[in-house]
Amino acid sequence: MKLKFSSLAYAALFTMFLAAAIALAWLQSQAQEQEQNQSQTQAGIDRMTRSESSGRGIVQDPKHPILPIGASAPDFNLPGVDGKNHKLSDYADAKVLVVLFESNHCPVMQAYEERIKQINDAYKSKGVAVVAINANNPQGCEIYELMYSDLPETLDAMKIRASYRKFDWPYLYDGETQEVALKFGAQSTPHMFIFDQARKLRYEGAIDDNMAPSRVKAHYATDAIDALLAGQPVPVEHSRSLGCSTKWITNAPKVQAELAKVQSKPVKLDMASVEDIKKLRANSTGLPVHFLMLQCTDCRVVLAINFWSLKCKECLSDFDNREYTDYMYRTTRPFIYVNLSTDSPRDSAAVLKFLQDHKSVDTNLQFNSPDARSFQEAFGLKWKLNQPFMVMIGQDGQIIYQKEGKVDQVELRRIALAHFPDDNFPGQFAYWNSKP
Amino acid sequence: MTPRWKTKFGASTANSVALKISRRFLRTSIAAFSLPAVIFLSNGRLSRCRGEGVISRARLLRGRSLRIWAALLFLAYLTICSETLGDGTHRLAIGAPAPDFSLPGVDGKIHKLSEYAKAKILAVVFECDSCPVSQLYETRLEKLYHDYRDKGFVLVAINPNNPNSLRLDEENHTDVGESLDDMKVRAAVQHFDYPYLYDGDKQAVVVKYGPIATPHIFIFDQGRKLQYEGRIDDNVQDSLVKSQDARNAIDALLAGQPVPVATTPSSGCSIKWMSKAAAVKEEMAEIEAEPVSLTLSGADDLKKLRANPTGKLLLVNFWATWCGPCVSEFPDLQDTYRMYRNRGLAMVMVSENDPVTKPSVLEFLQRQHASTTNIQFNSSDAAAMQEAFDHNMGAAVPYTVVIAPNGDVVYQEEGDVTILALRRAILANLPESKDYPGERAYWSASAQKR
Repeated sequence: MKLKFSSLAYAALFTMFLAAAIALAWLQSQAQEQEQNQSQTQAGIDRMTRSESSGRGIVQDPKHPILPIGASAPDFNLPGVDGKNHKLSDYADAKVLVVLFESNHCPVMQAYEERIKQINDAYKSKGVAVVAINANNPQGCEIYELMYSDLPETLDAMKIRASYRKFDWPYLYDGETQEVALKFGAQSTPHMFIFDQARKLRYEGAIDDNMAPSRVKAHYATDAIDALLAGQPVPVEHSRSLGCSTKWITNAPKVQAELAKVQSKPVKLDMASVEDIKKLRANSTGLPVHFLMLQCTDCRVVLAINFWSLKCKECLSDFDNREYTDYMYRTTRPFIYVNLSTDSPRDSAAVLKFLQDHKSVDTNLQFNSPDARSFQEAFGLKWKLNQPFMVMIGQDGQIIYQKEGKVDQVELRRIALAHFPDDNFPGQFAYWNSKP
Repeated sequence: MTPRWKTKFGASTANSVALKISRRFLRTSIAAFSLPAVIFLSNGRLSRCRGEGVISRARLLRGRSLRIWAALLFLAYLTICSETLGDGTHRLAIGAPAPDFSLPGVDGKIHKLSEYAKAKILAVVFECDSCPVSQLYETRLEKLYHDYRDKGFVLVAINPNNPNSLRLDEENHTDVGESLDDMKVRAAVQHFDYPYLYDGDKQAVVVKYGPIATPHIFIFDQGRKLQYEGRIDDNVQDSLVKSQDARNAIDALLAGQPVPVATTPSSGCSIKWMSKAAAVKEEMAEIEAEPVSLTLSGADDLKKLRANPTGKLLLVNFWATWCGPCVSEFPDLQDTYRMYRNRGLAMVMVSENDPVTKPSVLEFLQRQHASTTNIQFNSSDAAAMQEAFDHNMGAAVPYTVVIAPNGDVVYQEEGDVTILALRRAILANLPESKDYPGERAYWSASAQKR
């Protein structure tokens, strides 16, 4: 198109032509597009349903299907909390063998613990053996998944749980290879498998139909055991097991990445005045709280304060254990953990260096004056400086834990758990407040 | 798109005051008259595109009746586009020397213009993660690079987008955002062999080159003078390409010939300027103002849910406040909903909490600004509820399924989801926009590559 760009008339003419042509094209295309739209939408849907419709439904756990009813009991050879290895053949004499997949961390498991005890007590004299297996891999479990637990998923932790809660049945560890869980097709903790004398599977699923003991209507496990002992057919052979997922070892890289992300946050050290210490004692710090992974400005919290100093060797060697407790609850429960250095302010660079080396990403404070006595006075407690000293304050400002010297972290955690509210899992509060 | 046109319009009008030569005046008046027409014409499309953050040229070019319109638009482009662009950007003129850069790449190293001094031909491509057009050109760029790299051809891709200026509803065609980390993911999944550099922090390089959209290619000769700039070819659908503009330019340069067509329009997605960050904040404010509700639901409701009554692609997530992985993945799932809902993704969050904990569950949902459809089991017999949904569903939470409109399950995951895998599965199953033919195939392949 050759135009002589010499007059305004051409310009005006051209733009008018342009506008008219565009308008015409638009009107045509509108009509055309409407047609197209209809046919294409339909075509789109057809194409989609065609390409995806192999009649696909939900596939029952494709990775590790549940052992079918009638199948033989898979063999196992696993270390137990008693320090011995346990094999399937060890239980050859039992008329009925109950294999229960359980875990340390799961609140559903804890809700069922008493019922498992009752089953074991009621049936062990009748030739029924109960064997519990923990299939969780400690590296496959996020630390925040321990939000309802005093312990992680290691064999050592299982020993502590079993002795504290007086487990009267073998508690075996399959977390190393998880081969047994794969053979059984364990879906959750708890998940129960009941075998007859010939070691054929006769029942598999939940212990009963409700996590809350008072609302149970169907007692699947005891009904199955009773039937087997009486030589009758099991009334219900399968039920849906409910609870927490198995912490597979394949999850470990993700767990590590998550931890690295948390630990990559900058480490901060703030100087605390006498006034700040008074606020700490009253549990009204205004510090940011994370509850269920969310910022919470109005949450009342359990506050743990770790008084430490560079001169306290035990404080330093035990520092990482204390941090672990912090990691367990810091993002999921209403919990704040404060490291409070009683070192002189002139050592603050060394204090910060230590905290950085230990990736202490939470609240770190240090007395802002060398007059430690005045801070003790403000806090209202006296303790021997340069010795481990730990205080935990409840939601109402009352001291719920106080310890000079070495702190048993598991004990501390149990006390914290007994003081968290019961809003999300009914029965948790009662469990942690019950005496084993 | 809108800001770019607006800026152009503003610039042209400002110029016209000072213009004395009629030629310039003509150019300006075409711009001035055609611009409202363009805006008027594409009004419906613009509003549709707004959510998509995409310039829908492919759609505009469809149909014979649109050819005239396309030709005119092209004319308008030629007259206007050499002028000032958005955010003070000047589109680099043919013959101009290659602007210098020093930018971090997905390989963790800093890359400079001088590094490529030995290359006979250097192509600088502006591309990004989020733009579907850019995505559909990834394979072609890779091929271009492979076909010519033995002949002294070097290709460098630069992402000009500011990651904080991309609204969630503009991420409706992508699994990842526009940060350097996001770029690393894309480059790894698609096996980019060429450097992929990040200019999103300062956007100092993009203003020197002045691309219209992503993708936009600039080809420099051995003297690093610009010899070609514009589109890579003339069709977003590879099989329908008629004019291999970038290849023609490279072939000509290799043969020592003049480049046949030195400038073409590029089409794709607008540059996400950092000045747009306010729009992102605005979006968050809108999201936070959305109502949050929670309904107790029984076995019948769950049975119906499994059949997918929504007519859309439906994601169902079973969760509980007492489940660590559930609350951990919750924000990512909400963002996923915010990303794709404007393309027809429905999402239902099903709480398996005991019904007595409803106040705590609702409080959690409110804190999350969860504008998804939220339901909670109305019975503490959770097994019966799960059974009603699907006999084969997993027993533990979290549990996630994505269901096609016809009820087919296209994704299922027990335990926490791998968010990018989930997003790729969604993208592979959302209805394909006719502007981006091949998009579903791209995401299906991408989902395999994980």
